[in-house]
Amino acid sequence: MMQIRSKTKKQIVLHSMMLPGAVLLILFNVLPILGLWMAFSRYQPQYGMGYFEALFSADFVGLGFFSMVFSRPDFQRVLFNTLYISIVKLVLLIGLGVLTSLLLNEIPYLRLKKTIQVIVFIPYFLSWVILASVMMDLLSLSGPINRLIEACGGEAVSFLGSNTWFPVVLFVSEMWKSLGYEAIYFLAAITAVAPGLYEAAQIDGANRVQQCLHVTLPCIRPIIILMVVLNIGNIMNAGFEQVLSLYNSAVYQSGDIIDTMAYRIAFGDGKGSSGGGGIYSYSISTAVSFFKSVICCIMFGASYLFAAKKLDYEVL
Amino acid sequence: MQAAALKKKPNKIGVSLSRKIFLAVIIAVLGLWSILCILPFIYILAVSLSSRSAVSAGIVTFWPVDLTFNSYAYLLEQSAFFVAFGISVARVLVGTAVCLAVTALAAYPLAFARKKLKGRRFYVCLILMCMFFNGGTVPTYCMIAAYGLVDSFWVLILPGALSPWNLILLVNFFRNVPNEMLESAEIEGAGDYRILLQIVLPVSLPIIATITLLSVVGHWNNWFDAYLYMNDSSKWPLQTYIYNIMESFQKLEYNMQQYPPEQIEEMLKSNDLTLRSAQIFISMIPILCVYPFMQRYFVQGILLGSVKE
Repeated sequence: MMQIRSKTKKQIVLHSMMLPGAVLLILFNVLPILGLWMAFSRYQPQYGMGYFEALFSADFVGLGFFSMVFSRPDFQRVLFNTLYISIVKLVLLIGLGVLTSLLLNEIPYLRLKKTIQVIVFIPYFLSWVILASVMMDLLSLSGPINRLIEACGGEAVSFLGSNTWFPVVLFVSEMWKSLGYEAIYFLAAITAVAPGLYEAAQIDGANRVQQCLHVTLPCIRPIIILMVVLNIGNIMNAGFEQVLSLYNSAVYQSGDIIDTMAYRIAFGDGKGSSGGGGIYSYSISTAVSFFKSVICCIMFGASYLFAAKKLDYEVL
Repeated sequence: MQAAALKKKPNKIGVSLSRKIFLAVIIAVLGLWSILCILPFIYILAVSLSSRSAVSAGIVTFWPVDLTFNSYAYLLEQSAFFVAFGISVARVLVGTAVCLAVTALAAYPLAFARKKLKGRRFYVCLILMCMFFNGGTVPTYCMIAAYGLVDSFWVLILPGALSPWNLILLVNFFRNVPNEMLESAEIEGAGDYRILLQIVLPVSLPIIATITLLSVVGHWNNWFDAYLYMNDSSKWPLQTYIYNIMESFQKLEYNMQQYPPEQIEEMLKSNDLTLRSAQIFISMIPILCVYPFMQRYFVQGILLGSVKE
């Protein structure tokens, strides 16, 4: 009897530890999912009525808002932008990340290697707001980059206002922020390669480049593949904060992605403008983001399952 | 013997020369890359320390022209900037404390199989679900509005307090705590809270440091939650404050025609480049200050989080 009681008491203590976290997750992650209902109904926020009351008393319209979204003239372009931007980022990040980690690994001077690592890692810790502000100053029509172009006899380019240049700005700024992280990640994998393999390769007469290609690369191949797989799961996320802080209405054509589109439908161009884009804007926006998160969830789940099954990656 | 050595010599020099060139090229490439990484910040610093006329004349590059601290002095007088700075500091302190408390408490029952937590599957499913799926911006916004948290300080703290990724990091680390330590503590009659505080946490300091730093940087850098959930701009943290200024500047540059002239004038005034650069630089300082200490822990954190041996 005594033992049973102490056992329940123990369980209560354990659950009391889980409680704060579980409550937070339920309040801020699980309950909002109910709000997805607004993608299927004509929801409008109403004064004097509770949120759920207004939500579940709204008229059911089935997939009406989805077909409305799919038939939007800009939808295809936004979908294309999202995939294009995230695929190019993935290829650049992993390709250049592996390359720079291989180069870093070749440096025999420990001090220098550390210094380079520390410097290139800095932008990763700054927010997109700061990085975007800096990019804007550098790239503005009277900024240093354009002064340099003009000094070389060229013509000033409006990098953030032109559809040809805007994706390039996105790629470059992403490299600026994340390449150091990526390189250090792969570098850590390289340092785990058994030194005996290099010795064996040296005895066989392999030079540094050959050692790189035939020892290092095959050894870190599993990690590269793992990174690619996990990033493919993330392919619908083309970088919301980055695009939101860098773009403007002149480059919607080339820079607008699904997340920013959903955000603009609901909340308009920013705090200065008058709220969202009119009637049922919440429903339309939710339809857009729901479409995205379903695809996201499938891709994410599939890539994680693949990683767990084939690559021995374990989450929890 | 001698002849053989002589014969070998040129060959050896050749190898080491090509190796030297190889190294020089690599160091040049990587050095250029690291210089490119920090040059923009040096430019910002130079602009913030230059006189306004020098900046508008476009002669500032990487060294201040007409060195002056005017923009910093002006910022010191602006209360809005420092209120925003203070809110950022407050959210970092409170947010990190809450994040650590909630994460450590939740990780303890999940980590130790010997505790035989009933309903463990339920909690694991809950956490996994939150990792893979969420309601999206608008439903989350509506829910938070329904809780009455709009414009409240807690909206910056609570929604992201328990990050599943941090939790996984911590659970995996706790698992390596030797079972004997827990056992002996139990025999001595220590309760679970006490074991967590006095035994598990002290031996997990590296991972606690990693999570603390992740949380500090995350809170300092987060601007979107305040922008979305707060209408009252006097309650915004620093990053949101800077985003707002930047956004109006952007509108000015690319969609000028939308605004009446008076408003453009006002925007131009608040968008003085030297002043903006000073603000950007000040907002970077806290990160740059803790950065040297935390870099090591971050590397550790990434490795623990993504590649499990």
